[in-house]
Parts: sequence; structure tokens; C-alpha cells
Amino acid sequence: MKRLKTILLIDDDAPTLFLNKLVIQDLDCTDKILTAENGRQAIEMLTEEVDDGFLCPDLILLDINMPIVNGWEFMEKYQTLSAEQKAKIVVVMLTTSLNPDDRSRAESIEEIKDFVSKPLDETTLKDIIEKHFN
Amino acid sequence: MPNTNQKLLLRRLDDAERKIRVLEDMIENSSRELYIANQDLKHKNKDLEQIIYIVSHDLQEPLTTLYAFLGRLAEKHNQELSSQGQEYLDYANISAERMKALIKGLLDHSRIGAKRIIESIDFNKVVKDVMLDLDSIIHESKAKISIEDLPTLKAYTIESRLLFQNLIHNAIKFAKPGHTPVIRIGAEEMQTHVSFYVEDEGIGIEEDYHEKVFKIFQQLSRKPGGVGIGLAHCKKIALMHEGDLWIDNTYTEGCRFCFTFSKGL
Repeated sequence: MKRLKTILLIDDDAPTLFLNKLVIQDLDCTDKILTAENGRQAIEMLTEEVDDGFLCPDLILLDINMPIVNGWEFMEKYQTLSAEQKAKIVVVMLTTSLNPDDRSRAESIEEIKDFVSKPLDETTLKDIIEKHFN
Repeated sequence: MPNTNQKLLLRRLDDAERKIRVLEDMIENSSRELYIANQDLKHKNKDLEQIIYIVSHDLQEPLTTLYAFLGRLAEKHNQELSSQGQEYLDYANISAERMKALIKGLLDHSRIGAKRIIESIDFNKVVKDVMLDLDSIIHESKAKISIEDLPTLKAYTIESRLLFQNLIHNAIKFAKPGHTPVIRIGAEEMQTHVSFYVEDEGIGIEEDYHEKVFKIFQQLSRKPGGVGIGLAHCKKIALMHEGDLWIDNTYTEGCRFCFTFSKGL
């Protein structure tokens, strides 16, 4: 399994963020874990210039239902990022939604590469990394 | 010049026309009020379903996380727990499991009819398909199911299947202990509706509970895998078909569920 440099977790729920961080640490699959509490904070992180350009986490795990800017609204803003930046990022929707409409909506958005059910566990995370990074 | 009789008749005609106009106005007003009340009811029903959906969805999120932490506790810290601590963990898991099933039940209930498709359905095929879905349970219980010739009528396919599935499954689940489930299914064409029945020779339901069993989360016994929402689903489906669902209180050999579907959908 390939080791990643950065994973960005976008979720408003502190226990969920804590759990996801534990799962990532257990799998020891990345150098850095970043977190954002909602879509707006995440977009700010992605559009703020850092040392040599913009932040490009290898993997974004995105929740749908969040206050301020939810997962769908985040994707609208994400789509306006440069093709160069987006090419380096894999966005995976991580949700408790059982609504088939949410799944088909996610499938209709080119930049969303996967739609995964919560809770995140080591097997699911390993599958995501092997599917999208090997 | 009209004579006196003619004048009288003309006046009566005028009076009658005025009364008709008043009545027409009253009918128009009543129709308008009925239309507004109906629209209001539709909105309220939609709101309610939306609320159920949102509540059940939002409840699911923390529950999923709770579940995951309980799992981690059992998996990674089991050795550190005393036997009493492990017992607490087991009970916490059982409760979380039940809450998950309750939430799923609510979600399923709110979704019934959300994507309804009406089409002409052969109910012989509906029941045959349901029996295929329930094949392993039917086989395991050795249930004897006899089906009369059923009609073809316009109905909502997925929901109709769900209704039969719940009733047949219940009839098997609530067979008399030590007895093979016996189930009979039939239908009768009425003037405006078709009346179906699913009857069994099982443990039956006391008359006091004949209404209550159709309410959400009402169970007469705690059977594994059930939360008491199947019959509420069935009632909703019958109402969707402009019909109703009830338990026949004249039947005493077990339980007979009767439901009607409108022929005019």
C-alpha cells in the first residue's frame, strides 16, 4: 500500500474526526492529517497560497451534512479550483447517508472518486488507498 | 302584459334562481375551502415525512460513531476490561444495535411511496416474486401457502410487494410453536375496490391490539430482527392505494389481515 503525504478530513463532528484520525494512525498510511470543521474552512485551506503553490492533500475524506458549507456546496467551490491542483487530489465522500439520491448525486460529480459509508475503519481506508493510489 | 298567475310564477322563478345562485356560491366556497384544506394536509404530510427523514438521518450519524468506538473498545481494549466492564460493553452494543434498527425502520417508513410508480400489476406475479424472496424462510419453516387466483389492477409495484412480503413473513414468524405455518391468500373484487386477505393458523392477535399493531414501533412480542414497524409500513401502503388494512375480528383460527386497493388509481 502506498504511503500518502497528507489526508484532509472534512467533518463537523468532533468524535467522528477523532475516530477517523485514530483509524488513519492505526493504519499508519500518511505523514500528515489535516482537519476542517466544514466546507468553508476546507476551501480556505485549499485556496490559501503555501510555500510553493496551493495545498494538495493526496486524499480528502468529505462529509455531506455540515453547517455553514456542506459537502455539496464544498464540491461546487472545489470544482472551480485549477485542473492542476485537482489532478493531485482524490476526493472521497464519507457519509452515513443511506439515501440513494445522495449516492447518484455523488456519482454525477466527476471530482468525487468514491462514496463510502461511515464509520471509517482500517479495511475501508486500506481499500480506498489501494484503489486510488496504486 | 303578464297576468297575475304569470307574475307569481315569474317571481317564484326569480326566487328560485336567487336561491340557486346562493347555493352555487356556497358550493364554490366549500370547494375552495376543501381544496385549501387538502393542499394544507398534503403539505403537512410532506413536512412530517421530511422531518422523520431528517431526524432519522441525523440520529444515525452519532450512532455510527458510537458504534465504532464500542467496536474499538471491544477489539483493542478488551483485555483491560473486567468481566463487569465487558458485560457493560455487551449491553451498550445491544442497545446501539436496537437503536440502529429503530432508526432504519423510521427511515424506511418515511421512504415508502417516495418514488411511487403506478402500473398495471398481476398480483399472482407479485405474490410469486415475494415467495421467491422469502424462499429460504418458507423452506426452513416448511410453510404451506395456498393462493387463490388474484386479480390484475393498477397499483404501486414496489410497495405492493413490500405489503405482501411483510404479511407473509409475519404469518410465518408468528406460527404456533411446533406447528407448520399454514397461510392462505386470496382476493375479492368489489365495486370500487379489490379486497385482499392473508390469513394464517398462527398464534393470532388479541382483539384489544387490532388497532395498536399498525402503529409505529408497536410490538406484541420482542422477536429477533423486528422493531414493530412492518405493519405500519403495510397500513401506509394500503392508504396510498386509497384503501385500508385491518385485522378481521371474526376470524378465530389465527390471524386474517384484510386490505383493500382502489380500482380507480
